[in-house]
Amino acid sequence: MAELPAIVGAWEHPTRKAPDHTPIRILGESARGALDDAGLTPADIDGLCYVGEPMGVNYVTEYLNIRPRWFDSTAVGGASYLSHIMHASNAIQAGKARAVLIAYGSTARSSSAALGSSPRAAVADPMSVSDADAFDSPYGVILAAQYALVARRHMHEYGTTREQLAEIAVACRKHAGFNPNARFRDPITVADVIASRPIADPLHMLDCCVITDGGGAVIVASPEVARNCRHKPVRVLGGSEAVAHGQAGHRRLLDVAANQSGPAAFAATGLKPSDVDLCMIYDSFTITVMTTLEGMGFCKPGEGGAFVSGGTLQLGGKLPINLDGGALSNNHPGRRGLFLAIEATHQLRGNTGARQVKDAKIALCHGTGGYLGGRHSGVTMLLGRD
Amino acid sequence: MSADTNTKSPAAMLRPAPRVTPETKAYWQAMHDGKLMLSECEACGKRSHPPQGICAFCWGGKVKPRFASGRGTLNSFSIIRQTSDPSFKGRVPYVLAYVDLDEGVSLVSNVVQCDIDRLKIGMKLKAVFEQTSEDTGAVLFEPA
Repeated sequence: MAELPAIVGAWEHPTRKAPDHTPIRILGESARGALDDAGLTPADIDGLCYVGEPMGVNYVTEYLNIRPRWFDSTAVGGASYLSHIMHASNAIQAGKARAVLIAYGSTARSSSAALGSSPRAAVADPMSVSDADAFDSPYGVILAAQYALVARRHMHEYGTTREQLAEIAVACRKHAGFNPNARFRDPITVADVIASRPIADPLHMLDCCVITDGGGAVIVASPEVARNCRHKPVRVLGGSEAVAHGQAGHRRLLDVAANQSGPAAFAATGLKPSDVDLCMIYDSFTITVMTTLEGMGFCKPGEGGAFVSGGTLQLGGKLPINLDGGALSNNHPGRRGLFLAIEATHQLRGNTGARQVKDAKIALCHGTGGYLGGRHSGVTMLLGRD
Repeated sequence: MSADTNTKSPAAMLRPAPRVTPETKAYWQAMHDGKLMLSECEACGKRSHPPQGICAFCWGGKVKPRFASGRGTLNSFSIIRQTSDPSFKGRVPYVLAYVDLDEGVSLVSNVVQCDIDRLKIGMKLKAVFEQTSEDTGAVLFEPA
């Protein structure tokens, strides 16, 4: 089999609060960081991925003063950047580009963005297709509560407990303790999560991700380019994408996008769950991780509660997740998907120090974008070292 | 504590009126008039919520209104304790609900006039309506 495209540069901006920065400057600094990490120059970049406002690609390319021959701005929420990495890999295999920059910057925290508790309302826009938001607006729907609907249903159908969900937050906080840049690093217990302030029952404060400023960048390159880069290549093995939504009133809440993208990603790569050494799972809320683990097939539907108990997800456990501390403790500027791939890349290079998963060969990244109880995307990607 | 006791809202506490489009005008008008409108495809017979101009199953262009009985079952719920929505800040705690209608379709709404401690998945609910403007309304659910 021909060599696969690889992640050759990965850099996460250390800031968690940058009131004097703009999103695009954080993006630009991240692009430079990834470029240095790869040992490439701006002239080597011939592809760009960015998710954001319409025509964002035009602005980002101008700021970085590059004129790529291939670009993609797939925008499916926080999972988008995983889509970008796989789309870039496909484009490179098709000869459309040699080195694709995927970059992100946000000042969500400095801008006091209420990511989880803001109202939803449809806006009048002659080119908008999001009319369906109108059906949420009279009912005070907030993002956290849409996830909470799924959590409550999971508890009802399977007997899952808040304590079991809390295990996920505890694991992420433990790993954040090894990350000097993490937003919160002091250890927490299951009891701390249970006792934290309720936001949208059954989800409490410590079931919810943090809000920070931040950014990052990844460079995906052809095998030829990868041979001359500074670090060992981390191969984009493949994956799959999915969406879930209201299904015209026929949606079952536990039918999440991960249930579709997970098995498809394993089928596409010829791998199986037992091949995976570590997972980077978009942990917007603890329930997001629980449903993802089941969707990926690490345990059966409904067995997530038992699966996460007993330290399974912690470093040294059977399936360590979110080694950087995740969105629950490390960082969350609004669209976390890119950070999943950045940490996975460093883990597969084996250079993450105290939080290193020993001899990691295969990492699974899964992003969830949007509203778990409503319309959302799920993108699963597998990465591997040679 | 009783959730959302402001069902009979003074004008200042009106729920936000939805944005109305040509495709949803009849739906919101029906809600204003105390009826919950689903749509049913004339070709394949499938029922949908929310209403849209083409069938969500066969994509056929002939859909007709079908009015729900207003009876349903609580599928899941969340008690919202914090919101940045000015229209809802005064209502916390309030209950976001996913309701299974007897007609076989589900929707997002609120449960009102119910002690939070009494909320239980599987409980029977009935629809009540609240006007949100001169030509729109919202459907809420109370214990049946």
